[in-house]
Amino acid sequence: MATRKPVNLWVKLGITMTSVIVIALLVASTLNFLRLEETYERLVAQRLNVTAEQISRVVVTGLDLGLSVRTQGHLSSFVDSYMEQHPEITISVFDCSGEAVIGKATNADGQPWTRHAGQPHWRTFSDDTIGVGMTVENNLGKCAAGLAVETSARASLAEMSAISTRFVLTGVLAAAAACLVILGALFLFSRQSALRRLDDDLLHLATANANGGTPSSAPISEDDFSDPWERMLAQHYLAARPNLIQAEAEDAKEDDR
Amino acid sequence: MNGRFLPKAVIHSFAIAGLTLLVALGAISWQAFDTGNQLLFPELAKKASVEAEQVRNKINFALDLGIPPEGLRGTDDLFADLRQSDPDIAFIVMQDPGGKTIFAHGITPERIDGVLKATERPSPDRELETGQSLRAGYLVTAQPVEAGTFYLAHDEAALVRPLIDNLFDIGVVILVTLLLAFEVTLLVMTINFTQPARAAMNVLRTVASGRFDKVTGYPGSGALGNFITHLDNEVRKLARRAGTRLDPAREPTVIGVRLLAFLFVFAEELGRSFLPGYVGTYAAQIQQIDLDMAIGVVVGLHMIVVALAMPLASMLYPRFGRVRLYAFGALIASAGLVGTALAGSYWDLLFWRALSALGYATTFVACQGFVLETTNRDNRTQGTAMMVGGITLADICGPAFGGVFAERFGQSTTFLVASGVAVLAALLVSRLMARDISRPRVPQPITLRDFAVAFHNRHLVQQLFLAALPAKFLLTGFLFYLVPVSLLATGRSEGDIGRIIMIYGLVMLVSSPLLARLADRLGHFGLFVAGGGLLSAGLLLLYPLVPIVHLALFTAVAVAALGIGQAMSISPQVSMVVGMSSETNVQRGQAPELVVMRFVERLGGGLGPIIAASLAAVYGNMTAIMLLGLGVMACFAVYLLTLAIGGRTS
Repeated sequence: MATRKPVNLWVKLGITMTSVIVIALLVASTLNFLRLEETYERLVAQRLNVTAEQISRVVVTGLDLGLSVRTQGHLSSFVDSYMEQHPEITISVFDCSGEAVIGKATNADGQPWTRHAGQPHWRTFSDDTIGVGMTVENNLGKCAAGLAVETSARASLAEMSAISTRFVLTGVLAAAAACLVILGALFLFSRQSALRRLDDDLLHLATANANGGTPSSAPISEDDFSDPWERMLAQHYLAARPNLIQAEAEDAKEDDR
Repeated sequence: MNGRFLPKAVIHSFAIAGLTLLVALGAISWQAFDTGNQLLFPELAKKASVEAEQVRNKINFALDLGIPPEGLRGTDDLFADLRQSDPDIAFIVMQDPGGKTIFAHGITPERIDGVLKATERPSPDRELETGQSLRAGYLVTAQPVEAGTFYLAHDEAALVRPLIDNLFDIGVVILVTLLLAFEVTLLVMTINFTQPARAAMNVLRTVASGRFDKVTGYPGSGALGNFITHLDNEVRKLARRAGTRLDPAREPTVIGVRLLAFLFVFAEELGRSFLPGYVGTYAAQIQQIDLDMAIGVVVGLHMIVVALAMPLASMLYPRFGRVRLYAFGALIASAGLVGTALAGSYWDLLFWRALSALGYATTFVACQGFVLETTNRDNRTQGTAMMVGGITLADICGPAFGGVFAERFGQSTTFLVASGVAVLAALLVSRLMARDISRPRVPQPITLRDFAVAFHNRHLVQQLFLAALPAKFLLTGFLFYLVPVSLLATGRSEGDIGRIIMIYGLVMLVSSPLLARLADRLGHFGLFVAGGGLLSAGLLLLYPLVPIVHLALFTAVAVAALGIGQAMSISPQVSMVVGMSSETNVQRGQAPELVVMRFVERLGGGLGPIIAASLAAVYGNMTAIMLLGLGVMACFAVYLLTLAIGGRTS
């Protein structure tokens, strides 16, 4: 079986560091985008809530006068005039069985309002609409009506999609730039290893027989090695070197004989 | 861990990687701010316009009823209501046609003129609604009313506030990824550099002593790899001539335990910041047990099962061996975490948490066994430190990352991710737990004899029940139960809670070695243990006095104090207990007293959340924290007294 060629340490370090950078930037970009999306949806929902609160006050006023939501004639004209002023929103008022009094009995996705039964407030986010709703209660705390205010978010969601692409592009560019810097630095460091000198010396020493004499590389001193690990290795090598030379010399004599 | 373990070039590379990452993150965050402003501003303007319109209608309605502008009542309530539904609102003001202020809320009358008369800032690319302007950092919406003008102002910075909050999340991401990078780099370097370099030095030592009977046995490339290959070739050649038999100089790899310990603890810690809240949603469905108590039982059960399952796992160790036991434990933990994510009821959840604890205990014992087998008396402390290092990092990264993740993707998804981490640990174990081990040893299970030995010693009993148990009791009762529960109750997010819990691990990481060295130098172990306990619990007494708005900040300080207190006492306590053990046992590397202490600590850890929950159910969270602190302080005060009476503070 063929033995696998060992992977260079610096390559492994490069892979580790670049992977970390890519993951960190990817997560950061995603978090930024999600936060932006969440803030946008919150702002829209707050705006729609103001409308819902206004309509609920009209409904409650009617209820206080003893009119059920179905018999509140003024409500329809109020909602119509409101929608005229704010054409981007649609308003639905429904009774507690989910049947529409004004507008539709379902949301933009076709889901009936009754799916939110019992919830005092709710928010819905679908592919192209953002909506809020609330249950209006009578003086006894029982359900009297339901309200839903929706707006199309198609344009904003298209913009969001463009933003997410921009974020991904920036993330990729930032990651690529960061990886280039790191790989460059690792490459430079990998070329600087003083251990090459030990290796050269060992090779000279091992091939001294063939060269017909003593090792010929430049003399090595511990002080040449600034890294503590390399210095330790050099210390050990220098301590072992005389025995290696002697063993090689004996080896050469044996060969001569 | 410091630079001695890594070559300078790697430390420099790591620093460059960290700086580059910061610059790149800075660039994408700046883009997020810029884009955020562009996208969100028109929406803020629309919202402000609708809100102003609503308030104008109300004011006009009152004026229509004949109420004079000066006689308008309840505008402060109106402002409070507005702020409640939209915290971005900065102030409301009404002025008569002459510019005299009729009412103002959220701003002092002296500042009004400054803001309203400030130069209007142009708003390129920003769609403003009718009557809106940008002045002095506010988006001011002016609406004419029948008796003057009404102004509603939104804080412009509110738009970027969420993105600034996001920087905390990104900070956590940076911290977690850098720590993970450090872990992986350390593993890569140890396997590919440190160990081969050590083996090479070992070979060179034998050559220096005139023998040619060892080779490193490491394959290699790069500068060190080439040197090692040539050294091995040279020694082989000379050994062949001399007819010497060659032995490899390589040593078993203990570093793997660090990553393995990290992974199984990380999987569990991912849910730490929101577990009580998550359990609460299930506990709310059952009527038989009080809600707080039901949550406390689930949190505490995990630690009790861990304490009870460890002896069992130790008994299984010789039969299965470390690799299979770890893989088995990790898979059980994974199943437990999947079950936790998908549990159908409170009782299901209880079962899955117990299963998860069983897996946790099993993997823990496998790691302990691995350290025992790969180390000897000379380097066992180093091996244990490797495992503890992995656990501490997981304590830091897990809650913070889990909190951020749960906030974005949901709590159940986070448990599923945790389960994936446990599976990853099971997959990595055969690579990371070295096979070339020549010292098979088995972690000793706790026996009744150990208890007999421990409880025979009066001083040890005092140590266990007045110091060791209360310390762990406080840690789990406060940090794992009351901190998440009380912060959640005040509306803090999972991410915030995770970041606060993370402080404990960070403080421990930084202060443990320093305080252990200080304790060793000063020698007053008893005082360190007692001081640590009192410091941990002291701040908790102030909880009922802390205003809700400052609760998160105060909790962060209390958690840091808990970390320092625990760091003060952990190492001296072990030294004290070892000092109480029989000399023969210590020399044999066994101390039943220590084993019993760990068991008692774990039981204390299990009881902490349960008792904390009982207190919270009766007295509320803040008083429960205070009572917990009071109880623990009382224990440590008595402990200090017993030390003083017995003259055993040193």
